[in-house]
Amino acid sequence: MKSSVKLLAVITILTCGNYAWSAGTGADGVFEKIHVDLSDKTSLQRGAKYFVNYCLSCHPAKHSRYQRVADDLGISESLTKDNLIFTDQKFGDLMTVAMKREDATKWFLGIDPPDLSTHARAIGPQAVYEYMKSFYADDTRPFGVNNLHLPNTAMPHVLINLQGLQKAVFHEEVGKNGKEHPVFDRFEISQPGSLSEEEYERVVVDIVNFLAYLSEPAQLVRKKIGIGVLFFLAVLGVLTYFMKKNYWKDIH
Amino acid sequence: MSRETRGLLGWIDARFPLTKMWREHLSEYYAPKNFNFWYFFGSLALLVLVIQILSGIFLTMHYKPDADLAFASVEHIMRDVNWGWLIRYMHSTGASFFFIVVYLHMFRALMYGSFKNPRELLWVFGMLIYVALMAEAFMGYLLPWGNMSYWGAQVIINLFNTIPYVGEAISEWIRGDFVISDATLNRFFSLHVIAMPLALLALVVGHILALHEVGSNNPDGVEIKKNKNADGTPVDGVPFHPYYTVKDIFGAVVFLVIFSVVVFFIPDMYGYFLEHANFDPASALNTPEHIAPIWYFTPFYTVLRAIPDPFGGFVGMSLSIIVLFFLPWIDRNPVKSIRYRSFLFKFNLIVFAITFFILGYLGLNAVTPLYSQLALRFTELYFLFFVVLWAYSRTHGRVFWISSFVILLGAITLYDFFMNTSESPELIWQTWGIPAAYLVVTLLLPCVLMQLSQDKEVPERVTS
Amino acid sequence: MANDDLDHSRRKALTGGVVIVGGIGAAITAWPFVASMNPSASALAAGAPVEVDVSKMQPGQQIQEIWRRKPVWIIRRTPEMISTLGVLTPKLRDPNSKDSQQPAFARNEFRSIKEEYLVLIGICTHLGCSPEFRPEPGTISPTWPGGFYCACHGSRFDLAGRVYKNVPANKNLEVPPYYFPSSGRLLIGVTREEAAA
Repeated sequence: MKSSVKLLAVITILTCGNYAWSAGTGADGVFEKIHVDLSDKTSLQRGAKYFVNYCLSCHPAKHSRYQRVADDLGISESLTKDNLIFTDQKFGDLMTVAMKREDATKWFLGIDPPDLSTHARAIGPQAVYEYMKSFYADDTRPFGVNNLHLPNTAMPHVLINLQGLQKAVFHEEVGKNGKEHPVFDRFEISQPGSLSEEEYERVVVDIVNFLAYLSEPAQLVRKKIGIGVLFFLAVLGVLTYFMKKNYWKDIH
Repeated sequence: MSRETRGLLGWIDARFPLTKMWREHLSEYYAPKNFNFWYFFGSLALLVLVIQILSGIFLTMHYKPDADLAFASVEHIMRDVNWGWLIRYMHSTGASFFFIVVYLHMFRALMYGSFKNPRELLWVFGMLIYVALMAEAFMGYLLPWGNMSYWGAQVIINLFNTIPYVGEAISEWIRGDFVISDATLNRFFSLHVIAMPLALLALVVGHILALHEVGSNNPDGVEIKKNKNADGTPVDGVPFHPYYTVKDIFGAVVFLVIFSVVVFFIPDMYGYFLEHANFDPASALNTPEHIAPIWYFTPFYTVLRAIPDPFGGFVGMSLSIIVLFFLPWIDRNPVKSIRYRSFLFKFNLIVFAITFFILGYLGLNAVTPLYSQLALRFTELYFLFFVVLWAYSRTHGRVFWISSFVILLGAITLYDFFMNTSESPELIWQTWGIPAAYLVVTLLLPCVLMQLSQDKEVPERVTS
Repeated sequence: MANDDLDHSRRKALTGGVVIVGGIGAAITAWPFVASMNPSASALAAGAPVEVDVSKMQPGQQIQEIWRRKPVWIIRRTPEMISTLGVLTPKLRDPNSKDSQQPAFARNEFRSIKEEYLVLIGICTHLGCSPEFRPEPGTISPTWPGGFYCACHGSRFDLAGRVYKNVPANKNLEVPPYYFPSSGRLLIGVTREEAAA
């Protein structure tokens, strides 16, 4: 029966391939895979700053508290009050938005800007990254921009002053049905922003890092605790193994 | 051997069968000495039940069964409650591990014939536990009120719509509304935290009492009670306590290592244990791109999708679970253990395990023409397993093998001719080979190579 | 036989080891469950220090605030009120606040940082009713100099929240931690030392 166990194990591994976040968007394969680094506190702190400046005016993070973010990221209470809280909210308050929900829904074509406390965990950090990098000029859209990752998004390009405006270049390809259709080729900056490409990349990575942290703050501690737990269980495992062996010496 | 107890224990024993129970179920319950790896999963299932009840009690202290508050209260647990994240991950990981352990426990029973006479009722108790567990898990999955909770429950409850005449009324009665709503959430909460746990506990007690009445089976399938020494204890048995308590404690620690790896390092298990879409709150206007049930339901979900007629799918899915209850009356071969069963029995069982995996895999993925044909083929294999199992209960002549082959393959082929709705005929015939090959091996080979269907001699005593 | 004895003592040692290490493990595992019942971050945030503007309070005026879901009274005492405190000493059970709960700064006759401002938690130390502020002399009894009166069981407190003798309550009204970050601003829920730390 040993072989059947092995066989089951192999099948398990094969079937558990790629069930992670489903991609399947127009931006497939355009961007490299990003690596979320939660140990980079300064990146998280910058991410928090960008988040409250550019996102929090429309997107709430209503399950998260300023105080928790400040404590986890090593930001003092006074720094938090001066730099992260723009309303009359208190240090321990939830990160809600001042904008009324009905207004937000009206502004953004009937779409309620999603709460960002957990959204990054729902769509995955890669999707956030690709979304933030693939705004491009499109006069047919209400805010003058479209998005390659999430076509016809209702969101304006809030970082346009930093990145500038980019143009999406498409080329025609013949598809399976024999008809030509446009295929994305590359982005070209048509109107520069205040940051260079590398600087803008850094900003997006910081935001992605921060949102990944925000979607599950316990990440910062759980692995450390897990190592302790496993170490303890290893000791207990050795003891119980020898105890079992000793008792079973009686049985022939 | 002195049977009298003294002091406080004696006082209690005169009034309550404490020592009696301890002896009957632990220190003088004789279990076969040759249990192997597969025999850990019963005690592990009990351990997971304890983990679920404990973590569940503490989650209930902070959770709010209200459509407006539920999602936020789970995030409150994950962020604001001291150690709440740990308790929640223990519970969500525990749910998946419950099914892993129970599936392995059931597969053990299949391998060693643990459902056979005199253990039929033990098996039925076990199946009732399994069904209660599915209900418990399904209702628990709605409680986080994420978007997958909402749509998963919506889809599954709508299955009842397919029942002719009364379907709609039944699903409205289950929901207490026209769609999944606050009313549904509230009643699922009640059932999840009170009704189903009570039923589960009662069934577990019944399962253990039935086990201790008939005694444990073992990897040799030999009844140890048939071979007793002068004091009436089985020669091949050892007292459960201390021998199997120390062994199961070691097994529990190994289990906890694996459990902790998931809880602390990969709590969402790449989307298998906690589906990503469930981190967005429930929204009646926003269906996730791809609705998949949680992994432990997907084999049956595939059976449902394999049959194009909605009510037929519902019946097929129900049958795929109900048929398991009848296993003791399907496999009537007196040889219990796989060790002494024929080569073809082993083949059949391995194919069944693989089929179950593939059905599970297909249920996680969106339907494509190929996948939908594969779903049909492996659903056929799923049910054919039981037919072949029944056929292997005794020896048969050539006529039996050939005629059952013709009838079964003929039925499958007729289905393809008249009812297979796939748009691409080539897929139908390509995948037709799967059940055909399976039937050739399981039903035609015995005619040519008799020894492949020959069971072996069972020894008198257990081998160690 | 010697081998058996050795095995037996080894068995005892191993079983003891498993019991001890397993017991420690069980105790450690119990901790997150016990701790989960402590006030959560939301309860702590709701109980965060409260800032009050006291600059516009009239002498003799009482205002009520809520801190940690408990009533907190702020009273701006008049010189007449303050003058009653010294003469009452013999009638009080704990005039020097030896047995009562208050931050170190309030362990004086006035039970306050500034003589003028009294800050108290408005919950009777007997069974938790909320007493009334009765500043008018002679109302509760002919000799009543003004103070707090708990209608539930008749406990009486003076204008510093100190309890009288022979009433059901046996402790002075509790003083919360507080300080004045600047003149006219009062922060309830934290002392100056705690805020600085």
